[in-house]
Amino acid sequence: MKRDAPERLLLHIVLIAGGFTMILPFLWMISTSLKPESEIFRFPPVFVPNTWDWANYVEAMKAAAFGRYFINTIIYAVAVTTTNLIFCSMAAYAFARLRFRGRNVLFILVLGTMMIPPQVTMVPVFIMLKRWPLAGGNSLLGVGGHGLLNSYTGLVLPMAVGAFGIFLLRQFFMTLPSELEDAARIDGCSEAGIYWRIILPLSKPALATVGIFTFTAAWNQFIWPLLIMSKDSMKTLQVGLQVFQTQYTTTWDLLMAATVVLTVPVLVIFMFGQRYFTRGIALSGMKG
Amino acid sequence: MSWRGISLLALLAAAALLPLACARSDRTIELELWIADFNQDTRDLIDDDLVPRFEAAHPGVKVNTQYISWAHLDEKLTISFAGGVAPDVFQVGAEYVGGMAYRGMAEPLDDYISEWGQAGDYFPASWSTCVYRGMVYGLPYLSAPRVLIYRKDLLAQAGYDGTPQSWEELAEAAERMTVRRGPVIDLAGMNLPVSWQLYVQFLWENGGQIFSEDGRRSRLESPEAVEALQFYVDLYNEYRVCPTAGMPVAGGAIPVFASKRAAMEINNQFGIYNVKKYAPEMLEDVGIAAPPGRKEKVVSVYTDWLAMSPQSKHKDLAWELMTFLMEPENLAAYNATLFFIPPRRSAADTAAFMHENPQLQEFVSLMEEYGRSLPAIPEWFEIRTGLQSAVEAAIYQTKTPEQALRDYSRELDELLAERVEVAHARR
Amino acid sequence: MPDDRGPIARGQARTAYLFLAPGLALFFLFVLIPVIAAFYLSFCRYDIIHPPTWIGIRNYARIWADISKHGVFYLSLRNTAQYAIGTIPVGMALALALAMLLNAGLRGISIYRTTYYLPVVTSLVAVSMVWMWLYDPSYGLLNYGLELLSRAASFASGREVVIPPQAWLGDPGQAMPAIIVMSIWRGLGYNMVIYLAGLQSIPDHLYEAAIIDGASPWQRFRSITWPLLKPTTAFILVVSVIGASQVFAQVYVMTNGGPNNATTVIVHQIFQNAFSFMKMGYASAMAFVLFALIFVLSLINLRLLRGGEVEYV
Repeated sequence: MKRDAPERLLLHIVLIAGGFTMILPFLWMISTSLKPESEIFRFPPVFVPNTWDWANYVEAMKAAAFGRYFINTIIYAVAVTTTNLIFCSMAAYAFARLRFRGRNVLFILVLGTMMIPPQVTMVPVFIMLKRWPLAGGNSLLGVGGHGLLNSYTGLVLPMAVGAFGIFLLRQFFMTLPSELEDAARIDGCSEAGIYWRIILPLSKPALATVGIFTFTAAWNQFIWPLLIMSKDSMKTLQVGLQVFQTQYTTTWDLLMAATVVLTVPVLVIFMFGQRYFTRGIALSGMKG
Repeated sequence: MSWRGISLLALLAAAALLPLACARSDRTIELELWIADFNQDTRDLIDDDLVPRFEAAHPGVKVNTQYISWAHLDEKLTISFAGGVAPDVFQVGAEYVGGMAYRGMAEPLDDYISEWGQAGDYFPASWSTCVYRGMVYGLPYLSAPRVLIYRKDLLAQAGYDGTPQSWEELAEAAERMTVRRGPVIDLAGMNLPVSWQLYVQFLWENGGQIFSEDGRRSRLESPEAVEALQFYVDLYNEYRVCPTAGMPVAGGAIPVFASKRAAMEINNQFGIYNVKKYAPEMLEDVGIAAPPGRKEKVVSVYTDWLAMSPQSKHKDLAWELMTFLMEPENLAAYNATLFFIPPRRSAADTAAFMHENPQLQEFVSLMEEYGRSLPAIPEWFEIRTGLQSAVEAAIYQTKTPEQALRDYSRELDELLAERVEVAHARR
Repeated sequence: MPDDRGPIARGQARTAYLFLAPGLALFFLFVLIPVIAAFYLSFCRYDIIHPPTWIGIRNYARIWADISKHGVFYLSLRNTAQYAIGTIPVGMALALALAMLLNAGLRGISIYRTTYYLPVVTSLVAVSMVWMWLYDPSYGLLNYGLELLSRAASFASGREVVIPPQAWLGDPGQAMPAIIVMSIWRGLGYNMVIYLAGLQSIPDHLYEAAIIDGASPWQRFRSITWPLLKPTTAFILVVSVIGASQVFAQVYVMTNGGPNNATTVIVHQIFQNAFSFMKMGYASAMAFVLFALIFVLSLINLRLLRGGEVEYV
């Protein structure tokens, strides 16, 4: 929509002011990551450090096996995002567009599970993974070994399908005009075909949203990998950040440096994923 | 389409399951060790020195050390026990012995200990942290006694020679030394965290107890308990020697006393450590004494210790790991990395860092004379939360000290009564 | 409209089951069954180490007693409600405004979007720590700002104006508002992205037709944007209510429930009871009380914002 210049300028000003408030804590984080320890806690606060201590970044990365953690986190995040995109969209399509018995009840059940805090389901899931038959040295009855603990499978499976994705996609699918599908059905297209050829392409913004959210959540997840993994080689990045915190002290400069480094990949993914947000499919020509 | 999706999933699943295929099935015995007090030096010590030496002395044994911060220790410990994958040897804190023993999360070690014969080398106030109902469930690993740390120069300026010897003197001295600028306190006469532990210190100094002898009833309604809380509250609200929000301490950085914002505090050896680190020129002006006390002098000692899991499949080996870590030189080295007091006399006597820091010797002698540790009660986690709430309610003046203690005392009685019930239910 | 019994309907049902099968299988196993297990545990005493013992509704009775006595669970309910009321309306309105601004076809939209999403992308723990620092009474930016303000005011008025440094997280009255502000800041980008996706799928030609018909911006918003956004809004509202009621990490890191129980929230209580006090049964009961509350609220939400099926004319 075209807007005239003064209006556009005003918009830019508002957005920039707001944006500055958004990134202020980050600027602070970056500023801290570049300071030597002695400069961090000073009053009045020092914004631009006197010397830019890039060595902090190197030291931070050497403090633990972050390379290994990075690989683990990528595997985890990519796997969880992929499975969520596939299974949630399929389930959401069924809930939004297909008719079958028990549809509403099932959907409410799915929604309902979102309302239970994960803290009370962690223990049952943990025990389930530990007793998984025929895994990690377990017998058929699930005893003897450590099951799916300390494995990628154990890390990914419980997170492979989330109610959030199903919910979001279902809401989105419901906004798509049903004439398209009706027309396709009349043309003899199968339900699966409708899903693949019509619904999915129109849903790029929603799919991108679910993809990015799932990736971000998996990337930043802390408690779950902490509990499942006890081997250092299997830890994820967030768990690895723990090395900078002890009971009595926090090495702030290194912690901030590591946090900045950890944030970059997700930010990059977001920047690239953004083009899927742009409105794509013109609906002209579909009328009638 | 669905076929593409399915084959993609299958590929993913296969990739994810690959690590499982590489499961080992050799003869090495693996011991799992969890450490909660650590910094970079500690990890270097354990990973590069202690563990390799232990493994060299025990071929075929591998020690997997995990460093877990206190914030997440409870969760991980609980869930590991629930899943049957508890660590063989693990570190826990001062309030843990009752709960661990009661729930069967720590193995009683009396037989091992009597064979070992070195129990007498430990400071009594440290040793008692691992004892529940006469049985020993672990070995003390780090001790932190809390004494009065004060600025000799400021105290002299305020007209005192020698340290406060009573509560009245303590409050007066703190008040005189407090520097104000309008409503703001620039220098706190005494640094006071709002903490149940500080309350317990005052309670003991007043001759009070938290629990009855048998640990089944609360004694918090006694006049001693109320007086102690009243004194604590008065320090904030009457004498106003410290703001209730505390003098600023930013996330563990330059603490109050070391940043010259307080004249006195009751703190453990970290008080000295911080001064050395952040204000070494001040060190000669820093004095150490037993907190004045009212009816008795008390030095609270908080000790972290190592326990063994009853689920361990290699108990003898786990015991050897524990005693290895407890050898005086090893123990001293570990404590040196963290600046804690080694709980054994032989370690404290031989440790180089103890000699380099003469104040630490004073900590040790005060600990030997007046040291006391928390009574071993299974419900400490709930109690410390509840007690903290009661203390806060009194300090923030939503309740009077009597009200706060009376209300909490009732809760505490109910809590303790439940324990007796469950013990019966288990039979 | 396909009728429910014809071949098309049967085909639909079959496809539905096929489509649902893999996702639901995983979901059943790792989400539903643990939830059922947790429900069972809410009627037990379970210290996680020993097998659970059935005690009937004792846990729920205890919760009821706590609420009547205004105990700590009651406080956590109150604090969580405060948190929800503080973050949800403001957060959603700001997010919608932001999304509409960004949808206006400005240049540099991707940079803006990334900027506003940045708080969401960083780990909650790291963000909480940075904010703890910003709120620090002595070294924090906020109190520094107050000091600058004092100086400016003193200069301007000629008198000595002292705005004392605030305790923020250390003050029982300020702690929760402080956490609320931080949470709104953090959640803005999240809701903005969802609203953007919703806005993007509103076809342009509807607006164009409306403009030709002479509709004002407010009328366009009311007749086109708002109704077509209803499913999105419903979604965001339900998810926000669920998220707000389960707030935990920032409280745990920044205040650990204090001072004086001013910020303890429901999940904080659940966490403490489950893992510190080893009272998993009681914690599960609290979780299901929470569930009941959210469930009712969500039903109300969905009813209020009913209607996502759109007829394009």
